[in-house]
Amino acid sequence: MNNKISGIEAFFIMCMFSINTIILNAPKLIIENNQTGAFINSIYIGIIALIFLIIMNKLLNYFPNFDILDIANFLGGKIFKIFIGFLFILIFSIIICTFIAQFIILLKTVYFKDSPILFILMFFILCILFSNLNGFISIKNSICFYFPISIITLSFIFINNISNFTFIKVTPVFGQSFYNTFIQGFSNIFVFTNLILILFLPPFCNNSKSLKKATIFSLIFSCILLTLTIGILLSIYPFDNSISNFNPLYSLTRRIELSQFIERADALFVTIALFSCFSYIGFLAYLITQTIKKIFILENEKILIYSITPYIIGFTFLLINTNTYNKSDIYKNLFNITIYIISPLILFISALKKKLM
Amino acid sequence: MNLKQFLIKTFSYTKSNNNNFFLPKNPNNIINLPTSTMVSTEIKKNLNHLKIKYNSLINSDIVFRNFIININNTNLKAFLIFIDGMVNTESINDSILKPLLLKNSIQMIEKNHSSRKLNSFNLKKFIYKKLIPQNSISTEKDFDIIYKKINSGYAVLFIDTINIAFCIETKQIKGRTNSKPQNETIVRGAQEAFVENIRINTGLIRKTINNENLIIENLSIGKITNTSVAICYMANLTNDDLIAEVKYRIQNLKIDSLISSGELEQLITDNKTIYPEIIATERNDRTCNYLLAGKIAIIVNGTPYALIVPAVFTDFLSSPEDFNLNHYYGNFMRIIRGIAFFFSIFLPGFYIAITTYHQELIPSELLFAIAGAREGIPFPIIFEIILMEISFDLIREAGIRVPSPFGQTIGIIGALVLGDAAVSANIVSPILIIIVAFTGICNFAIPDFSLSFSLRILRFAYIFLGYAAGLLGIATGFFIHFSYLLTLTSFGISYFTPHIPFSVFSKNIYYNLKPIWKREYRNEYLNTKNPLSEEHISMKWKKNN
Amino acid sequence: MKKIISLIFLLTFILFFLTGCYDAISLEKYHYAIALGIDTSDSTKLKLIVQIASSNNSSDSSSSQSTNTEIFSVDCDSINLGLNIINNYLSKKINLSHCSAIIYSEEFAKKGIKDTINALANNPEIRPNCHILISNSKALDILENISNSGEQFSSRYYDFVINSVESTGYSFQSEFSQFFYAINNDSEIPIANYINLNKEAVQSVGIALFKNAKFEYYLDSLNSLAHLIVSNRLKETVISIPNPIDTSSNIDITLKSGKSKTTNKIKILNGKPFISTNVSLTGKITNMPYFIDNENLALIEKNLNFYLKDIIENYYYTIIKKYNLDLNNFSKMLSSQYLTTTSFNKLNWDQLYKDSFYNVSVISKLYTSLYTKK
Repeated sequence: MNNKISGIEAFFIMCMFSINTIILNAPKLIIENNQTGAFINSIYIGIIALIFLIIMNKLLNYFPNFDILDIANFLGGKIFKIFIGFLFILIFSIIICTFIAQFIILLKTVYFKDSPILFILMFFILCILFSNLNGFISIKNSICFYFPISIITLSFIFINNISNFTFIKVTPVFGQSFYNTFIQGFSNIFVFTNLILILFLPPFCNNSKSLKKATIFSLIFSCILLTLTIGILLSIYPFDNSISNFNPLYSLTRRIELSQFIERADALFVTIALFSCFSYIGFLAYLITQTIKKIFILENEKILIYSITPYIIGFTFLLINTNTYNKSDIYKNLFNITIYIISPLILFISALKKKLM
Repeated sequence: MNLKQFLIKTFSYTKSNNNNFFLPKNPNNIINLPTSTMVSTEIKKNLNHLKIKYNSLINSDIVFRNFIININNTNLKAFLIFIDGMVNTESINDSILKPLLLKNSIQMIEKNHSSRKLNSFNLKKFIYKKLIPQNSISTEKDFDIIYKKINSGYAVLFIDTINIAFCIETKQIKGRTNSKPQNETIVRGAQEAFVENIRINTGLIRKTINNENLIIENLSIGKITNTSVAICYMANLTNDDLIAEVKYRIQNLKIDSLISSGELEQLITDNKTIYPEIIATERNDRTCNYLLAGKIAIIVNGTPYALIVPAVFTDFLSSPEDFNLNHYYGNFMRIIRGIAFFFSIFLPGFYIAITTYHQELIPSELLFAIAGAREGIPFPIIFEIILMEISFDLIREAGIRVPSPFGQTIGIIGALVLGDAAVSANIVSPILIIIVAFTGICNFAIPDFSLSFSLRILRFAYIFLGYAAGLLGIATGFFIHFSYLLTLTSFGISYFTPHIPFSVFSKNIYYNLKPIWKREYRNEYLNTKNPLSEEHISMKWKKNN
Repeated sequence: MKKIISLIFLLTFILFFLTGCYDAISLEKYHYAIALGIDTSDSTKLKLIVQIASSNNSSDSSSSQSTNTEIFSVDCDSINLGLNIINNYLSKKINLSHCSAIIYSEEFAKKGIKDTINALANNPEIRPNCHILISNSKALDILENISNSGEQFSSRYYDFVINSVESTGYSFQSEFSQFFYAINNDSEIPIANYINLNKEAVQSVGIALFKNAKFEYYLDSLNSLAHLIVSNRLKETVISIPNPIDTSSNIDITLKSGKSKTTNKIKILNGKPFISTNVSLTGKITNMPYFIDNENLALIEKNLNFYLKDIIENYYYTIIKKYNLDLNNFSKMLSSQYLTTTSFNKLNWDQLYKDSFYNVSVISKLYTSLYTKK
């Protein structure tokens, strides 16, 4: 089976990651930390992430068509590769499970008040299972299909709420204080989870130049989208520490009113958000199976999905029952350390080793 | 590097060399055609020329009749070439072969002729004027004209030592008396359909395409029935590997009998799925359009339906009339059909999902009206919907088999049963009748029979999913359904080509049609030998003015 | 063997799906509440009143639209407990997703409504554009007399709020979500509609203002009009000014907001906030049947400008000096001139606001009507 993707498909996949983080909780976390300074903060972290990306691209030039596991193998042998592989599997599973947990709680609060959590979870698990059994091509093509639909609905939501938009509510622009916006706000870079993909996508792309272009454009796109979302949310809702809105973007969809006969159409927008959610978690589960395949040098990774799904079920339940899906502090530091400290270190040392060889 | 090149470099979709379509591009396939264009005096040269040109080794309906004429006590070799299915065989027998063969020796010398006339004897004139009692004969020297005549149903006679050919008109294109298409009616277009006899069907195709590059190969399937199957394609357009794949699949079927094209369709598809992957059409003009686009048509003796391979999803939603009409009308009808497709599969599921889980979506006035109408109904909503859908399908089945005197009655009974009586008896609510009827109408608006049938089945799955979990269930069902559809292929081509993955710079024909003077290229995914179908400026009369 | 196992698997799968439909409640199994009313009660904290749309059976009448309503009331300690008690003696569950208005009586609102608003906000069924109304009389009287408003269908009973805002300008279109955020936020003032019962007909008469989540003041019709003009939400209104030409009569003018919208500016002058407002309106004279030449038109415009300036200055005096409420969010406007909130907080806005002074300028343009030609 041919698993190659082109530059524009890589761009769609990476942007899909950022759309899903925005749909769920990224703007809310940034705004709670920085209040009105979140607008400048998002531009600031976008620029930092871009600089970081350019450095990573330069380092990756030494290893064409290698992903992070192959580089770890080159650097420290099998053991190091296994260690890095399990670290990334942990990160992927945290991303999937927190995402599913938050979505389930949203659905359960609004629509499925009496249903057990396992019942709602089963629908997500079925989608992961079937999309992975159908192969990589169906996952990739479904992302390419759902991405324009998500963009159109997001812009529709924003345009409908534009009458409530007052720019004054975003001021004072630098938030509480400069220290809060720039120094404490630096840890908000965990929001750009699509940077993980530059470590995993190179073996899939036949043209490394187009992949690099796609990564840069997608980061710019996700930064713009994040800034826009934060700006619009700040100008509509007053963010005070006494209320914690569960999902501000969902609350935006509840306010859409079209000519007095479509009044609470949030169910339709939740359906479209579900499409992007399913394709996103399907792709992440595929990456987990790929990582396991590379760690243990297996031939066919399709059948692994049967053993990964119970693990995802269990982990999601753990997060829901201990009420930790809402706390970003736990995984914030893990992401920041892995993506922004460990992986550039590995790349840097491997590049040095290659140069000296 | 200017802006356009930069954009092309950044955003272009580069075709991967090794994708699902396992038919690679054609190398330049040049057949060494004979270069002479005039009839020669040697009969062997003429015979070889025509055999190469018409691919007589594989073409099954080109007939060469070799015989010997005895004129003036010399035996002259001769042959007759004609296309079976397009000629009147009686007139060939009576007017050409009998006069030339049954006379043992043709005495050209009549009594009372002087010897001067003997020396200046003209064999050509003699044969032309005296021997062949057919009403319309012409003599030609140029092979290009001879090809046109043969393709139109003429029988052409070549005789040794004569450097002309006699073109004798024996046209008889047989047609069925009621040859109107039964199931694919259009308003404006040809009203000719295929019949059961394979030769008549191939004759219809030949008549429309009118070109010598059309190849019709004959194969036979089935140990007992030896059903003859014709594979039609354009030799200068169609991809060679596609032809080889089709022939490979058909020739490797070990079955006893093959009665209809429906059985053949099920035996040669890529994936065994509920969705159709091969187009079945009974129209001649539609088949010829597809052949000229680079596809292959398979005709089975005994069924008036031709199978077109390969097929993509949008082919099943397009009607034969879309290319005849102005592209504005065609696009408008395509949008309507797309809406019909969407409603036909999703409407009952959405209704049941919204009324059981998402009541806030409905406007207040409508909600109170529905709730008031459903007050006295004892059954749950899922039971109502299943009951109405099954009744609708029962009426449809009964309507096919009912004898014609009772045809009107079934319609009235169906309307009465489904409509008024059920509502007054408080079995169903009135809004459900509207939904079921509208869904049925949308189902009939889909042009392809197999696709509409598959939607009738899938609708039930969405009803159950909508009842189980509302819009979450429908979203899950659609996601799984769509990801399954993306794995389907039809002879190596992905089912949603060229829409997924979408590329602005490709030259495929998409669902929304461009004007006819812009459809310059054939579909890229077919990898035809000649991708250009029109010149850049096809309406020269406009440019010249 | 494989077939049997896969069949068992499939069966358990299907059964799992069918047993999970706890939430599949068909829409006729709910009672839909159109409005909620909250009054004071002698024995408990509050009295909850629910107005439910009752549907006609389709066999009785030609249309199955809801034209009648039923009212249930109960004494309880909180809204959720009250809904629970009402569900006790109804055959169907109450559904609040088509509730278009929440009515508080003035008595209850003076005690504080933060708890009830928070309880309602946590209910996912409530629509964010539900109206909040504070009534002069008891909520029960309002709910019983709302059907006299001339509207046949019960789902449109409370559309009079929207209509009054759009055509008279004496009121303001309140929304539940705005009210909820304002009541929980110290720097915003929550506002709601003020209605009263006048000879068995309900009318909207002004804007109710809350301070510390309690109903304290209300703006009468002229002040509400000024509020709408200043906050740029005026659609249409009709006012009557004295005629400068013939002092015994009045001129009726229909006003709409003009091309350039109302602009408000604020800055600190000599340690005090200075507010300047520029208003631009267009109007039509609607009761003069003869031709008015340019000089007289200019006179009338001048008169109108003075009249409106008077109204707006009166409004500013009321909210700044009398009530001390920052209705138009001037603190947010001022904070936009500072870079961080800490530097703005040093100003101590709460003390400064009382000493603000203001300047209003009104420009209006009058157009001709249908019969003002000789």
